[in-house]
Amino acid sequence: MTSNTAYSSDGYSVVINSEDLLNRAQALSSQQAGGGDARRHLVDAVVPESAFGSIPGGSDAANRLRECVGKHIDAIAKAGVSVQDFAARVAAAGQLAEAAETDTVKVSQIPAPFLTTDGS
Amino acid sequence: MADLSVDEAHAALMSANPWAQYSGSVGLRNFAAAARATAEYLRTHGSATFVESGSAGVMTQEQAELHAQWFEKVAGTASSTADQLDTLVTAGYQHQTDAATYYAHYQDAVALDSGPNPSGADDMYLIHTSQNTQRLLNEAVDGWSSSYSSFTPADPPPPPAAGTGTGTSTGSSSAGAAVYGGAGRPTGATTSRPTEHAVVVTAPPAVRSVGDGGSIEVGSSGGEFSGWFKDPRTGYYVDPSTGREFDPVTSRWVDPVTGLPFGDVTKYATGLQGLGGPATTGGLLSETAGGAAAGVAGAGNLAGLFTGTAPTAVAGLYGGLLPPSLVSGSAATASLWQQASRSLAVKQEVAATMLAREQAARAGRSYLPPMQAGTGGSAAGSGRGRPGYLTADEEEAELFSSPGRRAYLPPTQAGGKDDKKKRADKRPGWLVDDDVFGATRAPRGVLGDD
Repeated sequence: MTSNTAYSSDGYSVVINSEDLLNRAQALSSQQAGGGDARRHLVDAVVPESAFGSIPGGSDAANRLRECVGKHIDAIAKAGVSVQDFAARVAAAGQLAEAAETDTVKVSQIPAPFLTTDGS
Repeated sequence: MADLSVDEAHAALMSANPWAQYSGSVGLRNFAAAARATAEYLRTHGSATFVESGSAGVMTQEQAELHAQWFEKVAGTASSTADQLDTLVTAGYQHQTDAATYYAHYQDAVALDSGPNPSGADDMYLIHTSQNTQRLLNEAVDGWSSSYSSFTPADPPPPPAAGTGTGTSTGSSSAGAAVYGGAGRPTGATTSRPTEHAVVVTAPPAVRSVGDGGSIEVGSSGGEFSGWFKDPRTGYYVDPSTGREFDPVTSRWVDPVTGLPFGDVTKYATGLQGLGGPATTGGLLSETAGGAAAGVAGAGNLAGLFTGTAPTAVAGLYGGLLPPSLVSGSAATASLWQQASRSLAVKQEVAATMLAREQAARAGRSYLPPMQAGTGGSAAGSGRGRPGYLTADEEEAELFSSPGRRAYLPPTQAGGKDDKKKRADKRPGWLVDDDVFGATRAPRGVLGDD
């Protein structure tokens, strides 16, 4: 975690500084797939294969979700942000949340008397 | 209305993966976080441009604000879609828990009817349970299907007018694109950000602690109950070893017959009092854990406690207090003890199955039920779920065209006509007619047929 990240965890989500997200995304951007691949990776990340099983209506729901995500990505591209850059920001959000989650778990395992007031 | 068999409906209900759907929800929330971060950047950079450029930067600031508002809306639609997915996840877990419960009852009935000499009552119980299970599972399929039908993710708002943000972000000189920067902030942008410029991000479920959102396992926040199954229908914690239930809201144990919390608030409420917890690996429950692990049909050891002869031992399972429905004095006491035993066995089976499914998903592998996972050779697993009337021992198997598991067909439909002669020659000893009572066979050739 970077030093200027203000985070807290409620067991569900992590609050971070948006600056950290953009910095991480910039570092990730060169590693991300470009163009159509970025779009496909982004859609696949949100609509995992076989998540909806064989329940009637499940495949239709998956298609609606896939279409919804695709429309969002297309709109973002139309607004002037490259899909590759945006995909990097999404990936950075997941990575920073993961790091903060790990840090939070570590802190929770330290006995309270050894914690300083700023949680370090 | 779905019209599937018990096994078909059960397979369909267990085929969908709420855990994977939750991964999608997390992806959408991070999508929203990226959109919000973009909006934050646009506002900050637009203001900086305005300050640095004076009135010449007004247009840039307006365009930045316009785009920032649009990205906020995109984040909103992505978040609302994630909320809808979370609703689907909850509904999915509820339907799967229902399905596991119905199927466990069905297996219980099959096991009862699989003994050497099942009674007529056992046969009737199996027939009724089978019919009810099929109906309930099909209703669950319909319910889940209805949930999918109501899943209507929102479209994004139309992007800002053309000309305000065209082309790719990096290197563009247009007014709109100039404020986007690249994936991160551009060189020269402010480096110190006030803490209110924060976004909420969500860790992928695979790396998150158990018990967090999307998990049906009680996490460390559950204290002594960490590792138990969190029933998505009631919110109760269920012990995967014994089937006991605990209500974390009222901090009381749950009566296995009525399903209602009872007694005083238990000491295990906070889980941080160093009380040692309800041990299931030693002492009173040490004898029950092994039996309970054998599933519904094999929960004999725990069921042994629920005969009404050991109320003190049962009370030990519930913090020293006997569940009200099992307190003696009623004419129905014996029946209630039996009902409690079966209820616990079913809940134990459901909890163990659901936890195993989540742990398999968390580990990135597909879940295989015990019979398919190679435990069939163990004493507990052998023959489990396979009724006795479907299983032939070695000697009986010789009478069948296909030994082992098969569907029963009457002789007239089973195509065994041509085998009669062959079978007569291979009859096992216990089927040979006694000489005294057996009908004397007519000698061949007397009637001129041979």
